Amino acid sequence: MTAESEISVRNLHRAYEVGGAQVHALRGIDLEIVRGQFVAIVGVSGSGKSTLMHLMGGLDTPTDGCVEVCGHDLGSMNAKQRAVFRRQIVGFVFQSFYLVPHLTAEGNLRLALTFQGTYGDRRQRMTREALERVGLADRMQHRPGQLSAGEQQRVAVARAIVHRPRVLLADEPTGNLDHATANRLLELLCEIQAETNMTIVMVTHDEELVSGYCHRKIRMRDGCILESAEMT
Amino acid sequence: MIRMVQLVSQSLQGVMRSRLRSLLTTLGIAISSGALVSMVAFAVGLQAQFELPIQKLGLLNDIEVRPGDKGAVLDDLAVEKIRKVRGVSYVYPDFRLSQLNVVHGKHNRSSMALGLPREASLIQVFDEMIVAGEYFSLGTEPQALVSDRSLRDLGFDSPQAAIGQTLQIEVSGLDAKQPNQFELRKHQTSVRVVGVYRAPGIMEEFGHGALLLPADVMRDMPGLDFERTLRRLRSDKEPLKGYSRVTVRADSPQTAFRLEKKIAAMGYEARAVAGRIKEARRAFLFMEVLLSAVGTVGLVVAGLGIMNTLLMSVMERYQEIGIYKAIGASDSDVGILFLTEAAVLGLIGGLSGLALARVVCWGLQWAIGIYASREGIEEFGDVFRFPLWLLAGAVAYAILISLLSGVYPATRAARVDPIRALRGQ
Repeated sequence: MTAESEISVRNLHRAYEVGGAQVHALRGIDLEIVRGQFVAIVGVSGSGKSTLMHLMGGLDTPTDGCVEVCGHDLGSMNAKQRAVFRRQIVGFVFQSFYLVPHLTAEGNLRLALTFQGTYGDRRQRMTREALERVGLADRMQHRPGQLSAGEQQRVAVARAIVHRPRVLLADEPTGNLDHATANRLLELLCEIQAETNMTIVMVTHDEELVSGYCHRKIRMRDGCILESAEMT
Repeated sequence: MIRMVQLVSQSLQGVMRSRLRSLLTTLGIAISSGALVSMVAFAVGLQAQFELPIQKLGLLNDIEVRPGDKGAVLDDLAVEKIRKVRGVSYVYPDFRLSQLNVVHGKHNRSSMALGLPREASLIQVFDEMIVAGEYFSLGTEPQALVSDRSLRDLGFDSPQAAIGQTLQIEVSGLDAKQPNQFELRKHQTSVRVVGVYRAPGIMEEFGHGALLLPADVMRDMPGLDFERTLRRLRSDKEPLKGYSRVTVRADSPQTAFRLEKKIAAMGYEARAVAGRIKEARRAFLFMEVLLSAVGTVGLVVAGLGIMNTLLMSVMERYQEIGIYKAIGASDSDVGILFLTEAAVLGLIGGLSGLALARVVCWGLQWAIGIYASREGIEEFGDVFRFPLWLLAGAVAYAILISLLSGVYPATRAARVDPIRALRGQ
């Protein structure tokens, strides 16, 4: 891992048992992502891009190899340490938003901060700031069902950044959005990245959409990296 | 670790999401915990009915002394000797007559009579039960305390009307003149009513409206020792000299146990009332434990309901648990969240159970009161008692059972794989 490197992946393997047979989702990935980069991982379904992102986020453990994020070797961590890592270092955005349906926009953000041990006025302030940042200050008391898909995804982004993580991991965040809304979301992510120097890793199959926003594009197929290209 | 308030708030939201299911689950706990509380409250109430009059009259300080097997005579000399022992408030022979005739003008009533010591007035031990007038005074004046239940029979309209009135007492009985020879003796005397009493709780002798007389007034009445003498003669034993029973009042229940040993060492058979209470308490404790065990069966069944509810909740919120983990919840955070949900159900159920128990017991008390008054029992104390330890213990017990029931669902929730959950697998 170099001094600038935020995420370092070496010889990463992940295999699953499916119906008695071994399925190799990742086959020896090597990757370095430097701090402040907006990286898009593209590829068709089943190429292993989501698995790679789950491993970077400490949601999964590798079969072999090493993942280091912000100096933390995820392979050597136990479940509890990985939970602490997730609540402090990374933030997740998912295709299906995954907001808690019975909580308001504010409640969803408060819940995330609660797990991180932030309470009281500080939590209130951070919640408000995050929702203001995504332009939803006036929708704080709305439940997910009362928001449009684009707004729900912006709440999910606010939840992912509310604790000011160093790395934002987004798994097909535009998958459920129309083209215009998807563009606005990507603009928002770029703004956040520019303001905070946050490292963003985004998994998508829509290569065209992401091309104008990311700094680097990594193409995957069959659990391997086909190419990694810096964008101009 | 998430703060407790946040946990409870989050758990309450979880409970409120499936209101009907939560309501039915807590209803199960409420009914079973209410039944448990009612049953134990009944046992505690019975114990209080038994103990309260004893405590009120200070009978825990009493020691019953009988002549010993070794032939120690319990006469006036012995009484005087016992009186001088340190810690003794007073000593009096236990006089009781099963039947005497009490006359007031043209009214008369057949009554039981009990002898009480005049010295008791010094420590106001019987003041609790006096409803009009006062207890016997020191001195030698023949006085009497009449029961409020006998006022009408004796022609008194109110307790106050009886105070200062003179009663004629007629009693006849057999006295042992010599072994195998009894003499019929009649005795008449006048006594002045100084007070009216109301029998405390379930004190049997008092409850039948006995006439209470100073022990010195009863001393000369015939037939005091007839039954005991006859019993001994039937067993081919010599009649005993002296009193058949003497009551010693110690200055505290603790002293009573010390005096019990001391008097026994003097050759008498001594038994502290507090010791007998101890045995009774053991029986009540056994009853409470038995009823609690029966109640626990219901609570365990309700606990299975909680387990079922929480397991369904874990299944329904499978994806949500995955989200919790993705945003930083640890396995133990998720487990504690579900355990708290179980505890919240237990708390609500336990508190509702208390309310339910109070309502049911109030209804039963009311019904028993009606039945008792039809049976002629006017003074009827609380059949159910709810001491603080029972209320707090019942809620704590409901929470404990709920927590135990929540362990398995909470463990399952804690073990949810976030990736599988987020994929909805």
